[in-house]
Amino acid sequence: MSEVNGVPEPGLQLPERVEKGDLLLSVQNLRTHFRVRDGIVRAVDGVSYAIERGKTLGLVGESGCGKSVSALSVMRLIRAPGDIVGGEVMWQDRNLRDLSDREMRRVRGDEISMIFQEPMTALNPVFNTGNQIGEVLREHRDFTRKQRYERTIEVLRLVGIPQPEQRVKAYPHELSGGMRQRVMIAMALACEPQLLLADEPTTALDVTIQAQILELIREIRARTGMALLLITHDLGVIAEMADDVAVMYTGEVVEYADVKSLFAAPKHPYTRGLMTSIPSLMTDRTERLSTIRGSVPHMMRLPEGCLFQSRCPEAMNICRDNRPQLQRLDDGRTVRCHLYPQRPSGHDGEPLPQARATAGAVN
Amino acid sequence: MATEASASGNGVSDDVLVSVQNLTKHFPVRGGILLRTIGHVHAADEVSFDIKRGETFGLVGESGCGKTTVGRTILRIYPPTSGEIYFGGEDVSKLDRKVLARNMQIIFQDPYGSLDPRITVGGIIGEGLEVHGIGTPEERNDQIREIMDIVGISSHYAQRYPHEFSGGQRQRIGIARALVLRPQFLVCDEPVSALDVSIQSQILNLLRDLQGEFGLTYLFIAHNLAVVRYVCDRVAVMYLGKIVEQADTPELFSNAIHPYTRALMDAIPVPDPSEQRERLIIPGELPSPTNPPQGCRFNTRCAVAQDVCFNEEPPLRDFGDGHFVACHVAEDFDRRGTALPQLSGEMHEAITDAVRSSSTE
Repeated sequence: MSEVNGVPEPGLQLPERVEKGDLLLSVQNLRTHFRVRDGIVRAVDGVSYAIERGKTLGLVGESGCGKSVSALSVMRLIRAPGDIVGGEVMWQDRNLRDLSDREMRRVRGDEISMIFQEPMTALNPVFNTGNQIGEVLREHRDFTRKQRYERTIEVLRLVGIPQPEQRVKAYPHELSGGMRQRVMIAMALACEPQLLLADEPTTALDVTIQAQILELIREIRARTGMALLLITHDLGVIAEMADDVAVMYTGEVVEYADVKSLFAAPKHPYTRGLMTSIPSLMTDRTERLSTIRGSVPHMMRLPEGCLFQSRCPEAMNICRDNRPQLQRLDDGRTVRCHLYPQRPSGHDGEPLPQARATAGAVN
Repeated sequence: MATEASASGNGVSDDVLVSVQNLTKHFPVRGGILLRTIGHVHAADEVSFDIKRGETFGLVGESGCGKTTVGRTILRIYPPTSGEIYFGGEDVSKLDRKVLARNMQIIFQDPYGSLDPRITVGGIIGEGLEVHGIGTPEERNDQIREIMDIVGISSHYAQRYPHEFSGGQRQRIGIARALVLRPQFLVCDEPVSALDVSIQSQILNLLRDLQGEFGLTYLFIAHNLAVVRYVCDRVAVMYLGKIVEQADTPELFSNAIHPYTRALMDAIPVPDPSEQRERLIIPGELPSPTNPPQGCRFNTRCAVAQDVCFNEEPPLRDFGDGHFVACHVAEDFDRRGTALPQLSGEMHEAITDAVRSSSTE
């Protein structure tokens, strides 16, 4: 895994500890672009992250930062006008990008599963619960009808659905939001995947139901040793669930660290802004909330230089013209910011020649 | 010991701007070929509270608890099924709609759905002025520009259309629209929950600034307890159409008494990975509001429910210092002056067991 298309070794973009771990999934310099009428939206542009066996990686960021697109790219669920234009998705010893559609279908839903934010739109309204879970098993397992039914009941019970023998006949509209999310998790778990990609799994739910679902995911994780990629904008959920966290902004990872270091001392001004601007139960009620000024730049009008410069309280001259690269700090974590002078030795700080080289050449 | 009382007195004193008294709102459920009424959604039942001049009163609860219905009924977007609403001491049902609209306005949750895409931003903001026949067109334009600058949207953009703005900017436009008539009272219905996290704090700060500048009184409706805690002076917690607890914000967050309030607070994920805590997770889901449970409405999910909770509806009782709780066993949870910092171990075990059996059942 040395140089791919002139891009430096991807390992250098990962925190030290993650790089040395027993990696289940390793996303390397992933680039997923959408060709639209007015140009190219670089939704994911040179993103690298990795998940160790049995661990949880949290992907944090606001809408449009590319966190969901990166997960959909792992599953190869990107449709036109989108396209994965670069990078590798290493799953154990295979590059998922090299698999045929047929081989990919065997991985999807069996070795890697995904759950989505809105369970109503992710479930098929004309099939009942049993059919939808049965479909996954039909695809991946040589089960008899009876075995399929038994496994369906078993996973429904696993996700805490009361009276699974009855609920197996229920259609999505007959279930509450929390129950639908449980059904979707049951579908995802039917084949005992090694990795679950969870895209905002609790955002559409009420807090008491969110607490139930998070507890459920935690329990299943402990029982099965499944790894988890948890995508959310809620830092509270991240703090409770994740081992490592990658913070994304406009298609790039801006900071990547283990959860404790990240919350103890966020390095990137964006991460800091996120952490201080959200009111928590500890916030001083008499003080004004600190804010991140402005809003996320338009994905087709990204600035030269640092993508966060217009909102950054610490922007310097260098940030205007020079796009910062991800670099590893002394404690092993990585951050993309000019505040941290690049280390002289090694090629950690060398620019990625490809990343954004064509940023100005839209159209 | 606690005495029985209503959270809202009958006599409306001067410092109360909005007084809601025994407000009930049922929506008919129609079915069958003839669309006969086959039941009612009990969206709000006997809800009472007072909002003082200049304060921010929070209404918090999960989806379907009736908080939005209460807000909209106060504004007479819906007529109440029964109960009274007083604004500045006057019964709003007897006030002219135009007078109401000049004094009470609303900010909606969804900044995308709540702005007409075919009208310019200036037109949206100025519509109220036009309807109320305020000023000449030039004066109206001045007022539109002034309010745009106040909420932080450059007045150069008055001729642009809503789709040209981001979510946060649209919410500012919605706020400008609500404020252009200079109302005294604003219902903020989930004003930040549809916004990106980095934008939420901007809008919360703006609402706080505007309150100071215009002496506004807010009814702040939200499901996010951290936001409510930051913004509100007093908070009422709703469950299935009823207020279950009401108190000053610091009191509520340091001494929540109702088992539902406590569970709600426990359910919030804490953004601190070093904190490992045993959380209290309530089992089950919200029962149907068309057929709320007999007795206490929380009894289907409450770990400490007694026989009485299944038979008698608990009244909202006064625990002193403006703290009201509707729970038969509330005394067991009142921590003031006692050495009961947390749930007792037994109680905690009982609750955890209940959760387990419900989730594996």
